[in-house]
Formats: sequence, C-alpha cells, structure tokens
Amino acid sequence: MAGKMLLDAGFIAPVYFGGLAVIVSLVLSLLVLLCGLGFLIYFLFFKGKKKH
Amino acid sequence: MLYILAVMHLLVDTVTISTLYSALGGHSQESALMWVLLYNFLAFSTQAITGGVVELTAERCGTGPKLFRLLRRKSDTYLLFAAAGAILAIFSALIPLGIVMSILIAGIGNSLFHVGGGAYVLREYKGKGCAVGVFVGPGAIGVALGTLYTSQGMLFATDLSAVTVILILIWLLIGRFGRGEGRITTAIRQMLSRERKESVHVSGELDPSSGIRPGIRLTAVLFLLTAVVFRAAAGYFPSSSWKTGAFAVMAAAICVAAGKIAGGIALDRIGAAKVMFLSVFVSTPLILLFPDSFKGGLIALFLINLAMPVTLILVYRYIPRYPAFAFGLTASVLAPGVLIGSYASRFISSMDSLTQKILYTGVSLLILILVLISSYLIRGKSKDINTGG
Repeated sequence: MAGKMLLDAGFIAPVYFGGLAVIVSLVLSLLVLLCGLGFLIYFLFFKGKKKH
Repeated sequence: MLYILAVMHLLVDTVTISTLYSALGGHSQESALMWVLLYNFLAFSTQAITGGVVELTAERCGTGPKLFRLLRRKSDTYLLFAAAGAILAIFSALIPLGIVMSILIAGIGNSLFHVGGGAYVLREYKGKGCAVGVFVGPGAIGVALGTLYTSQGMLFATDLSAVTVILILIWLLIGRFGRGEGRITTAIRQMLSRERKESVHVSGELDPSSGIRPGIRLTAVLFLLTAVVFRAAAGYFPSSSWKTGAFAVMAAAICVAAGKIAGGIALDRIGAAKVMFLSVFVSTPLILLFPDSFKGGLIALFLINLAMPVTLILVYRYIPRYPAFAFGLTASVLAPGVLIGSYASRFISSMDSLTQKILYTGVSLLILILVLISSYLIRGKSKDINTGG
C-alpha cells in the first residue's frame, strides 16, 4: 500500500496521517466494503439458490 | 502462465506506484497525502466491487452475444481483465495525462489487474497455496521499486508492455480464442501440458464448502476479513525504528514477498493451523522483544506474511465459485485496516510500553483464533465429504 510504504520509509511524518483526509478515506473505504459485503450476501444467499 | 502473471504483478505495482509518486512531484505533503489516499482507495478498496463485477461479467459471457461467447471459460474473462488492468497501468505511465487522470487510470488499472490475475491463479491452480504465494509475493517488491525509482516509470512500463504482449500471445496460441491446432500451438500445448492437466481437473470445481450453510460461510468469511483488518492495522504498532532508508525498504519488501511465497508453500504442506501458529507465536515475541532490531524485524515481517496466503485461500475455499470476488474482497479490507492502524497509532503511541505490548499480543491472538475457527469449519466439512459422512 502506497501510503504505508511512505510512512514506513519515513518520507511522510505520521502526524499527517491523523487528519481529515484519513477519516474521509476510511469512511469511503468502509462504504465500498459494505457494497462488497452486499455482493457476498448476494453470491451466498441468492445466486447459489438460483442454480440449484 | 503463473510466472508471467507474477512478473506482471511486480511490474504493474512498480509502474503504478512510480506513476503516482512522479505525478506528486512539486506538490505539498498535505496535497501528496490526498492523492496517495485517492490512489489507495482506487487500487485497493475498490477491489471488492471490481471482483463482484468481474464475476457477473464472467458468468454473462457464456450466455451473452456471440463475441463474448469466445470467452468460453471463466478464466479467459479473468485473464482479459488482468490484461486490461496492465494496459491501463502502461497508459498511466507512458501518456502524459495530468495528475488526476494518471492517478485514476493507475488506480483502476491496478485494481483490475489484481482481481483478474488473482482470480485466474486461484481458479486455474485450484486455490493451491504455492501458486497464490508466487502470484501475490512479487507485489511487495514492485511497490518498493516504484517508491525508490519514481523516475524510471517509462522503463518499467516498457518492460510491462513486453510481458503483457507475451501473456496475450501465449493466451491466444494455446487456443483460448483460436482452434489451437497449429504447429506452434501444439508445441506450446506440450510445453504447458503440466499446467493444462491441472486446469482440466479444475473444470470439476470441487467445492470444499458445498455442505456448509450460507450463514456459516458468511460468518467464516467475516471472521477472516476481520483477521485481515486487524493484521493490517497491527502493522502500525509497536513502532519499528529500523524501517528507514532505501536499503531497509527494499530488504523489508523482499522479506514480505518471501514470506507470502513461503506461506503458500507451507499451507499446502502443513495446513492452515500450523502456518498460523508459526506466524503468530514466533513473530509476536520477535516484534515485542526486539522492536529496533533490523534482523529481528525482517524475520518478523517474513513470519507475519506467512499468514497472508492462508487468509486469502480460506476466503476462496468458502466461495470457490467466485475467485475474483474472493481475491477482491480480501484485498479491499486492507485499506480500512491500514487507515484504522494509522489513526489508532496516534493514541496507542501515548500508552505505556507494557500496555502497547499487551494490546499487540491480544490482537495477534485474536487474529489466530479467528483464522483457526474459519479453518476448522471448512476442514471438518472436507473430512466429512472425504469419509462419506
């Protein structure tokens, strides 16, 4: 992951990672993850039933 | 095909990361951080959705218009998405598009390649750990190379173009699109006979989770995803002072790659539980007792990454009909994990050393327990099938 590599390498001070950008990015990531879980539920509970 | 995809994985990561960092030249740190977060979001977080869309596309291809029916097997569709991702990565480096478009194309290309390539390897190699390890491992080296050689994006993109052409040629010549009866085709078929034999068995699609209820599958997958989130977050504490400078970054990347490959091989040989015990019970004391040791840190990184193929393959075993989605979903939880870790590290660094160590040990044990439960559920079911129970 790009940012983590930067942080590990000491190029970006950790203090910048605590800002609003991180929170917005986290919220967006979680929203996308929710969509992913929606896909998971669809594949497990609905898609499988159609086939059998 | 596996080794070509592994080399492509390394190059795609190198090209996209070098494109990102070369586009950031002249920007302030705050602005650079925004673009890095956008790239991470596109390249990693979107993989779950990309995986779902790839699965739906692959299923439609068999029944869709005539042109799409050329992609008879699902693996063909996965490979097509991987090639499309690599081509987007090449475009992002070779064509001057401006920072927004470069990062968008690099991020989307990266997401497509990972999902397509990962799904192909999972499906064609029946979720074998060694194959998955060989595919995922080089990515870490690619990220390190891209970070260290930001000005060499064009060179890496040219290499990636050559490897992508080789991939497409082999794909065409082994008869994916054509009839596959030419002399060259026959020679390549013989050359790749071992791989093809393996792929013939795959068509049976042995489903080790077929007797498991969807609710239990869902719970097990959620356990595994939670373990991945904790592992990604735990990467931030306790802090390691040794990981600074180009040599340390490269050495760390090589250990991460070696750990993933070794984890895959170990999974095939000794099983998920033993790999997890080895990973957690050896790496945790190393990190806690020698946080500033360079050698200790490298060994710990190697051991931690043994667990990565285990979680990925276990997720795949619970949803074996959807390898692209399994790969994408597992990768997409990395981004929130890293972000939670980076945010939490501010609070955790204010705690005393002992509390930090206890917290890290607790998280490591939780990861172990979550993976072991998921592993036990599917292993028990596999035994029932094998013994006719």
